[in-house]
Amino acid sequence: MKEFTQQLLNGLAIGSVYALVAVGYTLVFGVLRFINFAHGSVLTFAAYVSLFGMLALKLPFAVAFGGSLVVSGLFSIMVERQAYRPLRLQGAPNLNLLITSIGVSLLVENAIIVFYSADFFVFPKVLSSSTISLGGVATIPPVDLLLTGVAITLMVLLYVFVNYTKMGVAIQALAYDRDAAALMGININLAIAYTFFIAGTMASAAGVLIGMKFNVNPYLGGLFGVKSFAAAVVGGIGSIPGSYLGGYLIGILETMGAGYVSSNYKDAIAFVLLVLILLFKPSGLLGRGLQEKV
Amino acid sequence: MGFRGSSSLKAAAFALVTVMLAGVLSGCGGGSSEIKIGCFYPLTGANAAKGQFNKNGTQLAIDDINAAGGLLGKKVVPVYEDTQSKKENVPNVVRKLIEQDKAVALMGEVASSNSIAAGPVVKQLKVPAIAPTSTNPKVVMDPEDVTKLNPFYFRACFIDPLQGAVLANFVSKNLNKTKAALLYNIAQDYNKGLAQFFKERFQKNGGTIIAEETYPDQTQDFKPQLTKIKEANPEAIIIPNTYAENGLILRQAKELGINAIFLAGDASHAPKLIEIGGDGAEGVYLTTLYAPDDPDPKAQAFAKKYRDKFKEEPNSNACFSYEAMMVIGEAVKKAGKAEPQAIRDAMENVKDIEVPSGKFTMDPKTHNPLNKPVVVIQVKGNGFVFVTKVTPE
Repeated sequence: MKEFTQQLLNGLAIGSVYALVAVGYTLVFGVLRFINFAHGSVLTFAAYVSLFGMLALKLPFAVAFGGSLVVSGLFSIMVERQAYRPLRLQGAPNLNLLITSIGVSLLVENAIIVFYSADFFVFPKVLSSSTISLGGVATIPPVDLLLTGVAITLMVLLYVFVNYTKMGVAIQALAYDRDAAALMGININLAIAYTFFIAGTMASAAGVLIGMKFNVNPYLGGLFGVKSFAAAVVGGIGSIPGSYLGGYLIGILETMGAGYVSSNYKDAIAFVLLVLILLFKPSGLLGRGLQEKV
Repeated sequence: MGFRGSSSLKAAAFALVTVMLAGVLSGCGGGSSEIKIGCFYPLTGANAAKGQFNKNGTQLAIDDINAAGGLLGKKVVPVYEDTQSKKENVPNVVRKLIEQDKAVALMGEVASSNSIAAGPVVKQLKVPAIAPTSTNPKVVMDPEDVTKLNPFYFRACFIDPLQGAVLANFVSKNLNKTKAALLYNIAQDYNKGLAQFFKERFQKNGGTIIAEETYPDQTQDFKPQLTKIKEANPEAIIIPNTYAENGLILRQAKELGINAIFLAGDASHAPKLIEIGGDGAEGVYLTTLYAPDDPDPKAQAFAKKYRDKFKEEPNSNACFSYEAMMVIGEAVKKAGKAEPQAIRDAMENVKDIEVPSGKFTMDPKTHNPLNKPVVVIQVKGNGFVFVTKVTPE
């Protein structure tokens, strides 16, 4: 029981990361109907931005974290404007957007290697390293609490934004039918920019917190990005609660799998789940079936 | 659109031609006044902190050789290439060093898997290579038949069966522990090999392995494995992994409140281990090739020389790259000409040269040096402290 509780907490912490990143895949897919593979690199970018803020500019953590959320959101918008919008306005097929996004992610990764070296960086100590003991049953480090807290807070904020603000409703309308939304007077480009900004800040929160929990390196977005993508599809791509469900499901299942089955297959679990979902419920656990022309 | 496309195509073609010409010209240049030594090291990526030490150690040796008049009256010039710590980059990098830079001998890599990846190329192109710090037995073996030697691969350090045995004896005899657990990277030959050799000797000593967990490359979350190991309650936990992975393992073990003694191998001998591991790294034992605070005066002299030049403490990578370069230097002198085949033949018979970790004699039957001692060090405060030195019989 002790081991089970600990593994559950381990799974929740890592699941929070997947959930935060997965929601970005879902949002962008919702409005543009393509998988933005550059999303994982926003996460890496954010970790470096906050690291730079703290090490080079000597900013306090809260400022560096907040700054990184804004800068990464803007970076995400810039990627959309420079790389995707020209293609979108030319009416290029979604496949072209997808390939472009892979290019963007390679560009970001390699630019970091060139300007910041490929070495591992350690985040300055912000939280105490002494862990919180839960009645001798399990331990939880402060960074995991922060991670889970941030993930849940952002989920609630996102829910409120999407359902109770004008722009949120506009984004939903856009996701439902882009042309009809445009005819109703919604500024499509603005709504898309908002979507990318939100996706970028969510990934940024994940990036900074993973950087604190582990270390910072240019490949940070790689494995976390791909697993979060699996989480988005498992939960139902296009569905915001679905991406959270998928993220926590994969986090907990792979942790339990490593703990009780075999640690050799830990990374495979996310992808086995992905294949199973695609075979038996292609729209994902909470996704609506949608008519897709590819 | 069509116009733009064709002009960018022209630009690309022009750039390509320029690059190729530059390659040809640099191939022609250099000439006979220099002896080029190709060094393929992980200067970026997962092993970057180690590769930098290898580069510094090599540079120190080349400076010493050139200060003493060079080799055969020629200046020794290193050509450094970055493998980015990736196995798949190694064959191309090695080929480039040999075919374009005309290196007569090679040094590299750090990770055993990466040195093994260089094996087929040096064998095919017939240029001798020496691995300063790759300890897996397969590094010097023929890639097609592991029972035979690769005639062109040599090594400057001890091998993992010895390191594993020393590690196991240290746990059983010095620490008096009988219950051990293992946690290692299953995708790397070094980690897998060292774990295996530890296990064999430890069980022979009467110890039991009560938990054995693995993980693949790029793993950062070791909590599931560590939680499982914690439940098994081992006295010692063996982590034969690189410094970056072990730093995270040690930090996460501390977070889980694991109190067992941790032990690792030479791949963790880098200051980054302590930087990443934080409080968790305190008290970890490592087996390694060289320690700057080894009481041996020759080791101390090397440490001083390194400190004066690079303003940091040397580690085993620095020392063994220095030694490997000295071995190449001796082989060129013995061969009397800077020609790969002759250097290879001479390298097999390098005997009794003075190096910082003692005397160096290459065993022609194994391509490994004879009687390299294993040093045990421990993390204390913010650095590594010499514990003991074991010389094989």
